[in-house]
Amino acid sequence: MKRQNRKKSQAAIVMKRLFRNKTAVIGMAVIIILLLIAIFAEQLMPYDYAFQDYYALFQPPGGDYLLGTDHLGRDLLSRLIYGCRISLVIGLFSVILSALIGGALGCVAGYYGGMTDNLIMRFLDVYQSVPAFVLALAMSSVFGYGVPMTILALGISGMSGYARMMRGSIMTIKGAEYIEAARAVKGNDLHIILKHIIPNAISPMIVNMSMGVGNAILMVSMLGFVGMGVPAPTPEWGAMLAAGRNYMRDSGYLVVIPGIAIVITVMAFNLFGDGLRDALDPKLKD
Amino acid sequence: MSEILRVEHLKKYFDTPAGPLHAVDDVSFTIKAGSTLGVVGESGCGKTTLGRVVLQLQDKTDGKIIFDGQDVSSVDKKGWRALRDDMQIIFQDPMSSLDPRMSVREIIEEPLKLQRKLNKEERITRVKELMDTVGIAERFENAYPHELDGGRRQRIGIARALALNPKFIVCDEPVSALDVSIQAQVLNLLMDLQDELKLSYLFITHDLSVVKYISDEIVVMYLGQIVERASSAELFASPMHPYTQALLSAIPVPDVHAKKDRIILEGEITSPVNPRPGCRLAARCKYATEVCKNPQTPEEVAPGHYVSCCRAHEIRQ
Repeated sequence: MKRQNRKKSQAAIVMKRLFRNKTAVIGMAVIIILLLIAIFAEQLMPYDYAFQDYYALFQPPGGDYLLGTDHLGRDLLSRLIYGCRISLVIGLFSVILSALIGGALGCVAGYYGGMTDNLIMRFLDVYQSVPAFVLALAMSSVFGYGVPMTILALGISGMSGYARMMRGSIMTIKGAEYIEAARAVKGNDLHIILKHIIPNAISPMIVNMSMGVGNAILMVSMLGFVGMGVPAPTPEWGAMLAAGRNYMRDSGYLVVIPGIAIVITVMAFNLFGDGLRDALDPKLKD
Repeated sequence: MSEILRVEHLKKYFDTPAGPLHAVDDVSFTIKAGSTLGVVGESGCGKTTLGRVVLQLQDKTDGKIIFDGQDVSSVDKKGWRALRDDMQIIFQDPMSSLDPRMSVREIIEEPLKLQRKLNKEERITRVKELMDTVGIAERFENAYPHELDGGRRQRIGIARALALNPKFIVCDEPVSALDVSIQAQVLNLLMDLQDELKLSYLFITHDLSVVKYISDEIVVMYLGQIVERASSAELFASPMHPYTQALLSAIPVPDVHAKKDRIILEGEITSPVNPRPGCRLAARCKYATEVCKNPQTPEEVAPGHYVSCCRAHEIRQ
């Protein structure tokens, strides 16, 4: 009976190993804080993010407005807090969309191989020859402005990496002897895919996704910076950075503060992703 | 003794750009219940493919497989799933044949789960029983394959194969990936299990000392065909086929003063893609003559000793 209690689920083991990794824990803590900020943005904002105080333009940090105000007298802190929600929503959902489209394409290509594989992969070759940012830019000019449209643009433009990764893992796993072993003990296709192929293929995907969120946030910011993506007055971090750059000489905090927010967020996701990769690898136990 | 498995004219061709690759070409043999048939041959001679095709893990091109009196050559996928209760396989590399994301217990439990005969508690009892049978301590049940050494991993592979109480097991080089010291343990385990559970083995290996140790009967394969078949003792005492002779002459003798006639086959293995009719060894055989270009048929030279060489008698004299 004592032995029974020692049986730990794989998820519990992964969590335990994740918590042993200090940088991953820091990353995770930052992500949780950011998520809380995003969820409770309305309650946390000291002012409305679009409220313009014309008597307090370019207020430096400190004073009435904790992080100062921008060229229209809007509270930078409130805009940063609300922007967190925008950035996280776009970052998370565009990555999920990328992983779903790319994962499905990669699955089909890797599992069926041959002609199907060739068609899909050559299409992706062409697709990838266009730089990701240019592609995202083109997509968002096709789909238009707004949060859902930006998610769509980023999701579609980022899927090729996931497709390649999924195809690669599935091709490796498909040839493994334990797949044949599973077939020898009566496993049908569904059982093999669900119990053997997916569990073995999923961890590089999860790692890639967690790092992809940081990347996507950066991409949103870049889109915002060149004036695409989410329209004003929605406070998206990249757009804030772009707006602030005109006044950088006198009011440096207008670019420094959103810049720091982006760096912290991207780094948190990268640290977390790194830790997750180590924790998910059963061969690196202890 | 009754037959557990009879294979007749089994063929497996792979399509390659250059033509069909004859991996297994017209192979026939029988295995008696409770006995071991060893299959020896060099790498690429089709012995692994033979094992896979017998279990229908790969589709055969042609031929007949009769298992336990039942013709299973035309059984469909569903029928084969039922047959897997009785026919199992142990793989060569115990690292790659065990899913790295499953614990020892999950691996051994998998066939039982898929069989859907036992409930959870019965399955756990059965897994413990199996672990005990193959000699893995119970404390390893939550370990993952990479945490165990090669011998233990192979024991897990054996436990998984035994889970469904099979009558017949294909052992595909089960000890080639193991240390010599562990090889002996695993071989002894397999032989003990055979006595205890009345198992029959098709034992595939390239290791002559292993095959001598474990087999009752041996077939020698060369380029997809069986060149010689005899009981273990008979084959080692009087090999008839030039290939078998060359193969056996390669066994090292643990005596520095021993004089050996090493028979060295000249040239390379001919390609298994689109082979010419006739003896496949002819191009490398020092006894080869014109008659060797004709197709060879197995000939019984002694009771239970078959040779596919038309010049076997001449060579003997």
